[in-house]
Amino acid sequence: MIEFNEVSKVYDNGIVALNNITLRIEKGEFVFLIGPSGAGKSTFLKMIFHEEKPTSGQVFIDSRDITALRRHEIPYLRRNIGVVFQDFKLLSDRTVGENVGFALQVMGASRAVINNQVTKVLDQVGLSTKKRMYPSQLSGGEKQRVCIARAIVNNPAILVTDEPTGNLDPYISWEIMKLMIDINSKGTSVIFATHNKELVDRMRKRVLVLKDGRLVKDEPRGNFDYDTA
Amino acid sequence: MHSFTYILAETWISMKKSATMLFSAAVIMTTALSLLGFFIVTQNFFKVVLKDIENNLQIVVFLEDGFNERTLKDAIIPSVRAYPEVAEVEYVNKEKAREELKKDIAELDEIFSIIEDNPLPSSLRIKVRTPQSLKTVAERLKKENGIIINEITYGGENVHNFLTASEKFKQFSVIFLALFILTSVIVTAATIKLTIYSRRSDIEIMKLVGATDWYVKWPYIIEGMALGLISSAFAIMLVLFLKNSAVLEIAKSIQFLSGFKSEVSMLEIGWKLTVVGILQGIIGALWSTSSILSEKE
Repeated sequence: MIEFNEVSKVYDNGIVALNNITLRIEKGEFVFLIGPSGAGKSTFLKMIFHEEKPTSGQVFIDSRDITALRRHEIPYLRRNIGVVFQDFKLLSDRTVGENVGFALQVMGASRAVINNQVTKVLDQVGLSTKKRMYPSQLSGGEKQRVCIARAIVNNPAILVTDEPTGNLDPYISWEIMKLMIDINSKGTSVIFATHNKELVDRMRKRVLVLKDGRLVKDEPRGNFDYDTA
Repeated sequence: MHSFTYILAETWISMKKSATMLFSAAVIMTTALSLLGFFIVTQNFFKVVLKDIENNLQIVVFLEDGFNERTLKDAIIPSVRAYPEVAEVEYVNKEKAREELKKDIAELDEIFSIIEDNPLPSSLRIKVRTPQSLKTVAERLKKENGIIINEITYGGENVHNFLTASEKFKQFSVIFLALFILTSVIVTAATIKLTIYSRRSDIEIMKLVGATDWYVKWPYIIEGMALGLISSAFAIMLVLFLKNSAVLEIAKSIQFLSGFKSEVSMLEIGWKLTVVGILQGIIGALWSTSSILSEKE
């Protein structure tokens, strides 16, 4: 369970990225996060994996106030949260298998565990034949699936995705969406920030709309519509 | 154990990735360490020279003929020996002085065989405990009763000036050495920082997937240690070459310095440069990674 309690974020340059956000995302929920560019979507996601700290308010994960975490505790929080980015953030000099296994490696998992998990998760994202390839040898959709595989390899409770289909064509985007649904069906909460109207309208899931840092709409089965908010 | 293996693997990956930057860092570190090594060689060399000069500083009291040898041996010498500043007193009679001179200059043997009388005076050779007490002892000897002193030699003002200068040199060299090591650490750290900056995106990914600060730091620390070790090895070779070709050539060309070859220990310079090199690498890596990691949590 994720809970935002009157969270505001003002950057050093004076920009108000989030303005008094209060909401709750239940365990296993699938939530779309939409809004125009600069609405505060990325800042909202960064709060969840402690890339940013609120200027005021608290963020709770499983009832624990993560804004009060000490520096050395942050890595352990992140090991329970998968993150997927629009620009993939893959290590170019490592194979697909090594990129995916990296998340387990930093946790100190044994070679056998890493091999088992990597094989399993690559199979899940449909990349089992590309384990030894390098990111430069993959298409955009494949790179995004590697990124997703890395995010879910240690079975996180939460998956945070920041416009994961932003650079992909409609067909591949839908493939990625199906993957997200599959991951969500296994109990992982998914927070999916997107500009993709088609995906949001087709899925009819909970939609959070951010505008100028404020939460202007929260619909349990929403559409991609932030102009009327 | 497997974590350590992964960290070593990460170190290797990281080193391969920034080979050019590391090469630059190694060149800078080798230069800095070589200068440090050469400084140590020079400092050691002068230290040994000064020590030797200091150890050989003595007062020679030439005695006028006709003194009572018994009084000298029974009263005067024990009295001088009792001076707190005096370490050793040696009586050299006329005969011994002649033998020593003949030994030093073989050609004189023939001359001495012609001359019946021994023209050399008897003397007392007095070694003092500290060079600073030369003057005091000399002054006191002049007032000593029972001997007629012909001449006292101890180098006078020149020796005093030389010793003062050498003392100042020692003090300045300590300050200079400390400043040099500090500069060298800063330059090395800045270079390592550049290599780490080129891998910031990798560090960002590591942090995002839950790597602890120490997991990120260790490969760079090991890299810094390796860099220090390699650079110090090159620096040692360079210093060895410079020492053999330059310093000892100078030493050989100056007769009284020619005996100092064995005193400049390469082993000492070797371990000092290795320790400084490795420490530079570690400090540089810690400093650089800490500043980058503190940019973002």
